[in-house]
Amino acid sequence: MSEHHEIEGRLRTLRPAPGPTTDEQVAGDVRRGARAAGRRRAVRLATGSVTLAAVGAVAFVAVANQPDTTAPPSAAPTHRGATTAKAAGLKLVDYTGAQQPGFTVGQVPEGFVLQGVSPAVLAVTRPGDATDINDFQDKLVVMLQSQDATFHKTDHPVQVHGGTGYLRDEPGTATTLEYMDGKHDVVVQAWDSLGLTDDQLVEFADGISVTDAAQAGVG
Amino acid sequence: MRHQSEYEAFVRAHRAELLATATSLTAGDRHLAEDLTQATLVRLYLHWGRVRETKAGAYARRALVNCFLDHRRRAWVRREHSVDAPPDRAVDDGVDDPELTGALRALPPRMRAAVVLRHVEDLPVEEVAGLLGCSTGTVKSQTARGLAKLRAHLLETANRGGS
Repeated sequence: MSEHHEIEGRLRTLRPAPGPTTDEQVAGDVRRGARAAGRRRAVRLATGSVTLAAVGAVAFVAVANQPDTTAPPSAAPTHRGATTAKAAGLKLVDYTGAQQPGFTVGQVPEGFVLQGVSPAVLAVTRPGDATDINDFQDKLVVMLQSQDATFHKTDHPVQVHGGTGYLRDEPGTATTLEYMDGKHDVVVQAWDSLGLTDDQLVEFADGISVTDAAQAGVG
Repeated sequence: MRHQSEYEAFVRAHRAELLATATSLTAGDRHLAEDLTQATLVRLYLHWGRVRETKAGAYARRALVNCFLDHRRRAWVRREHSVDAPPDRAVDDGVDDPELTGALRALPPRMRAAVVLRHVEDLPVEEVAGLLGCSTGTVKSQTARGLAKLRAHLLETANRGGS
């Protein structure tokens, strides 16, 4: 017990004394915050523009009594419904290529491929992406959460895999969805540049099956 | 403009404290601590309108803990850290107790966060539970297991040094 007390005493001395905050640091924090706010506004504007364009196209088609082929791709209904239209024009399509060990995929963003897997990570990218599969920038990835991690709830619950999952938005970076599939703690992450909507992220996750070949890490 | 001046005042008053906490959470990795602090302050900026009046400090601390826990499961962090040249000094230079800092680094992230917030930051169990989003019982068990692991790690290191 006294050894624990000794360690507790040593731990208390570890905290570094706060240093001064410079004008340059403050200016940098304001600049980064303003930039992130600008990116968020741009994404919202783009999403709103697509929605307006879709509504306008549908109205035009109705008035002119033209066939659906006159509508732009983003306004065309997809095989899973109109909610999959989104800012970057991507839509989810059925995946018909070869599956990778550890994960089976039901849908991918149109034109995307399975880049590769490790025991705990599946990366979905545009063709020709030569980056490491553990570099998640501009990708859609599926990860098994570490066995030591605790399931992470947020204030944005959604229905996925017949249960409740939780969305987390990292502004300017990525959106993640964490859920339990009955056996695994699964995290699906979409980089913001893809423009996937939250609904699409959930829809993609619903098409994922984790097999016995996948293994969660530790630590 | 008022939004920005209030935010600036908050950063000026609290940034150093957040950075100190981040340095403890990262077990002395000052570069990562700075990254986590910056990410925390970006989140705070984006939510300033909602949290500025009463909750900014609590929000920032919770965001910092989340940033720390999140970074462990996000490989994109590795890309953000890439630099043209290696750092000109070790990331954990200047730590007061390198053996204990090394032992802390070996703990799983949530356990490390519980130990650091409870025993380095000296926060009450209830506040640690709020920051980690778990029960006080979980905090107690995580810190007890964490202390036991630290002790075992330090003993092992001492035995290796003595043999």
